[in-house]
Amino acid sequence: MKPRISLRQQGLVVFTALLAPLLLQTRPTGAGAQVTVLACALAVPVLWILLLPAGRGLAPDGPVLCRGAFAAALAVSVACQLYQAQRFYSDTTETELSLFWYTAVVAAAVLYGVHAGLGGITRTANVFLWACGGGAVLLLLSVLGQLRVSSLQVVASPQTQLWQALPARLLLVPEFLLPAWLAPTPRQGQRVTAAVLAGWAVVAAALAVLGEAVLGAGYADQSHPVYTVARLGGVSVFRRLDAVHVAIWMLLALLRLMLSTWALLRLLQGLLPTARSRWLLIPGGAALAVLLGTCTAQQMEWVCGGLLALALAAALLPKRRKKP
Amino acid sequence: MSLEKLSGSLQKDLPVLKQMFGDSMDLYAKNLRIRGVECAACMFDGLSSTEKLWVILLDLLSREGPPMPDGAALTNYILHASDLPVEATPVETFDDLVARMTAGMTVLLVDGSPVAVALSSQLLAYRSVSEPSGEGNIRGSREGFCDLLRVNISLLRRLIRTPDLVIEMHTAGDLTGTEVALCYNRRLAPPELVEKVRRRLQNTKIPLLLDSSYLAPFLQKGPFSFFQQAGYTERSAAACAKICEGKLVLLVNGSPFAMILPHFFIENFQSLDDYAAKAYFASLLRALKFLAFLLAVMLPGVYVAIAQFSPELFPPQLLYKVAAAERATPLPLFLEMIFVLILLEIVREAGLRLPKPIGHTVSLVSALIVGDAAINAGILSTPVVIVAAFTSISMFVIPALYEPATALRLLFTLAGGVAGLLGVACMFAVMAVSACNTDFLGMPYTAPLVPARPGMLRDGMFRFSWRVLARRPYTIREEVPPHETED
Amino acid sequence: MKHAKLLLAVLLLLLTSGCAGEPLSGRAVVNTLYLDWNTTGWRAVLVYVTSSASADAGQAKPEALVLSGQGATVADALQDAQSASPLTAFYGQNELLLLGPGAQGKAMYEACVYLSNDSAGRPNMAVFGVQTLAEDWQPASGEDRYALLRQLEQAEGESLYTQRLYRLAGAEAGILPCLEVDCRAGTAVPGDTRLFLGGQCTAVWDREATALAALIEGQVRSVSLEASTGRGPVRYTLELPLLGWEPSLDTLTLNARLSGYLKNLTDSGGLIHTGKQELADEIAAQLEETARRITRQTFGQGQDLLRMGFWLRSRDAAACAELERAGRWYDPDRIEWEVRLRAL
Repeated sequence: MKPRISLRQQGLVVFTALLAPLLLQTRPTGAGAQVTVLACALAVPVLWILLLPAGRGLAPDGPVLCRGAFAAALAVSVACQLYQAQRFYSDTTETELSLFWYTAVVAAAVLYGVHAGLGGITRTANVFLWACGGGAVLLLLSVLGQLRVSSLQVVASPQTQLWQALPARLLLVPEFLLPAWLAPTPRQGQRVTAAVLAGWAVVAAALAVLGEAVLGAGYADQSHPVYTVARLGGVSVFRRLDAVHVAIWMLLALLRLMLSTWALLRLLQGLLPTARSRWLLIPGGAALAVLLGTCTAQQMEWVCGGLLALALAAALLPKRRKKP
Repeated sequence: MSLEKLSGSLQKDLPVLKQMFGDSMDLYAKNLRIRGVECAACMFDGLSSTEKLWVILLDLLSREGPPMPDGAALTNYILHASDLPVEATPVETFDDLVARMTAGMTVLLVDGSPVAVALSSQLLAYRSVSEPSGEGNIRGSREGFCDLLRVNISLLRRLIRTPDLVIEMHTAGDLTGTEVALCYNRRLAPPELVEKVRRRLQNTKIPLLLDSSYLAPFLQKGPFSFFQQAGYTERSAAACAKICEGKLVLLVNGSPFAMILPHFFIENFQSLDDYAAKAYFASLLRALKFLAFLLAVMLPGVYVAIAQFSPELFPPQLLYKVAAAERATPLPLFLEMIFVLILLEIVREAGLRLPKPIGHTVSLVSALIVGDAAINAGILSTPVVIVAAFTSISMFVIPALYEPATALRLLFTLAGGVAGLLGVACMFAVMAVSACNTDFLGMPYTAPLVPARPGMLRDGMFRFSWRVLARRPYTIREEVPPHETED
Repeated sequence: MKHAKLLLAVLLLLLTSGCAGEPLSGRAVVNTLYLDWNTTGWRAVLVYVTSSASADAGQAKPEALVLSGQGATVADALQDAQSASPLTAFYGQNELLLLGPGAQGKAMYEACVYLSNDSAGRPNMAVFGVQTLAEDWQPASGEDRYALLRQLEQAEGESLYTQRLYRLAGAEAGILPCLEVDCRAGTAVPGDTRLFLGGQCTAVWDREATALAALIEGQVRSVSLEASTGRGPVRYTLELPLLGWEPSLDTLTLNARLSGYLKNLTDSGGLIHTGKQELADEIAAQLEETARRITRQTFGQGQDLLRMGFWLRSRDAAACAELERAGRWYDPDRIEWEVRLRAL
């Protein structure tokens, strides 16, 4: 008998995990702050509506296809996260760490977190969020002298750019479905999902505004936009603090990995309860290896998004009938 | 231990008693005749006072009266009709007889009586109540627990003079039969917590119990954690404060350290002085201690990680000094740091185990040889020595966390030296998970910080003034999870 | 036990895998980077700080060394310079980029783009123009070079206007503050400021114009200047400058209002006590004229380097975009200046 994890904590751990892809961006956003803010504001209600069936579909008596697609999406997401975090770390530090060694270094922490279970991961998320908050304050203080409102780019008609930027914001990630899966009832899951989406959108918009206020028009073309802003900042005799920020962001990446891996294993336990059925993991693992070897990170993201869309569509199927 | 009852015959019981204790030289057994009934006074020399015994016996012997018809009548008289200092409950079994004699009482075996009488003739030699060597405080009580359980219980009873204080006696240790007192406030302690601890205590199978810490692995269950879920204190005032928060205090006979259950991470940064000082200063000190813990654990690893992987974090003026020092020493920075940390641990352990007159020499030797000669010889560099020394000093601020901090410090240094700030981040994640995953019967070890509760501000990382605390004192009932469901 | 063995094996693998990083003693900590360009290619000079080996860090004495190289591209020149030393160049502390006479202009942007994209360096390093050549960077001793580095840092701090690498990277125009550096004498002081449009130097700003540009960008809060007035040269300090932007949507013009206080008004005779407000009005008129001049030279030339247009665009982006499409946006008369100063 373990203590129940409150909805607030569930929302908090998912929100904290979602901060990782926002901070560890490895591609140019291609959109300015104004368009990003509009895209985020538009994405929240659209995503919330898209995610409505998740609670029903991911319930223990929901369609197997829904949970199976979700598990597959999580597997792809875990691989993608490792790849992106390793690439980000190698790009931003002098350390040439291959994917294998990166995985070896983070494996102990991730597996320990997975072993701790959702309760441990959730509480750890609180600690990481505090660290991230401290890092955010430090970042703001360090670039305050270079912040200019006049650097913000004003777009006369953002509609064209908005339709180009929106698909990236609407790309599904597994963390969007987690609140619905974790919550006791679908209605509670929808409330938590709304709160998480709102928080995610606010942070994404705030980062875009901060980045553009510092870098100006060049923000949209930066490969690592938030990291570039972090590189500019210094406090007192500490002239360069980006390594500190990278270390804090790595904590968030670890948390996201822990959460995704735990959720994946949990789902697999439910989908493949017997030792015999676990043989199905072999073709699944092989498919994942092929994906890793042949696809880019962006393509894997789209595969993951596609699987999640499949899961949501499958959620609309009728529930399994219990055998009499 | 035998549950065999006393036979009532001196001729049978005395030899059994002597055989049980293997004819030990400190076993004192004196035959005498009281009111025409054969008796034997049995005690352990050193635990019981012969003088006190004879005062009681002479008093008994001097009372005039007709001879007693049998042993049972004499026992009944002594227990209920005389005003002698005897224990209320008679001794019925050998188990009980051994327990009482080893507690310092004299047991009067009466021929013809199935029960014996325990006389209060204790005179145990024990370390008196004095100020504890650790847990230094500026204000507050200077009394510390001693090694005798009864005295320690009296210290608690003296401070909590309400009927809510409950003290339950248990025994643990197959070879030692050590008494363990479970103390709690029955209004504030969660009943389910008391019940679970009591059950775990009763189910504890341990060969010997010489200190309260021996019980820790049996009382706290769960996966491996760097951190202890049980706290310890030598101060009776601190133990009382914990009881008044609804916590349980375990006192073990022979140990001056009271075990506190449950124990939260934040309590390692609190002290009795916090409640005597002004709230703002107490809050400042707690924050300072927390910072000291982070420095003690992470500073060597972070320093090594920055120097080897991210030197841009150093201020420019410091960078060339660190580079010059690294250039001059033969060992890589990472190994140098590990070496100095291990050396400091050896020095600390040596200073702890040596007799006090020689202990000062250790400090002198380590300061001169390690601090000065090694640097002059170019074997060690000043930045590394300074970092290691600063780390050690920071550790002295929170001695309760010395064990986990020492282990974590080495691990952080290894992680930082091998994988830079990524390694430090991974190690920090491991430490955070270790702390956050630990709980005691559902109460998180990181409460009330994580998950954040009002107690975090009221009396956690910070402390509000007594006016606020008095309105709603903090108790652990706030941390008991409201509902439990299947995982 | 099994887990412990596994962990130990992983740890040993990690320790021997070469992940231990570059030792600090093997790095050349580049403090200042000099780049110049001519028809033969790029010339790079790295000035890095090192110190003698000393276990007692307090006894370590810093000295500056110089590495130079050349190549067809910036990357080649830097690589050539680095190869002259067994140490690995470390750019993490590099805060100063000096551009020689050939690198100022079109070549400036190529250099800035390359350095800005290199994650080892700092995208916010200060960029200055100098008239020294690559051959001039050979002062006599390591201590002299170190002293020159300190002078450069001081000059950077004293410079009114600071240009950052990331602002020049990829831009077609830029403001480049200059330093007057004498490597032999070991001196460096702030010089004038050059305006580059389309790779050509189109204007040279004096201290007053530089100060105004810095004020508009919010880089300074107070500034000491000298003005030629009816009473002769007058030195003053402008305190608490407040720059307000009031867009007029009817005429699509921007009213820029600069206000502040003048302190320490001094002439050849010392502190001025009489007629201060008249002086202040005269100085205000001169500042207005200077503001109009720099507006003509930047905004009027189609390059809003000081981002003044933002205050109008943010109110009516569509109308401004329409004007831009019609080719009428960059009209210097669109920004009207008014300077009001009070003498203390």
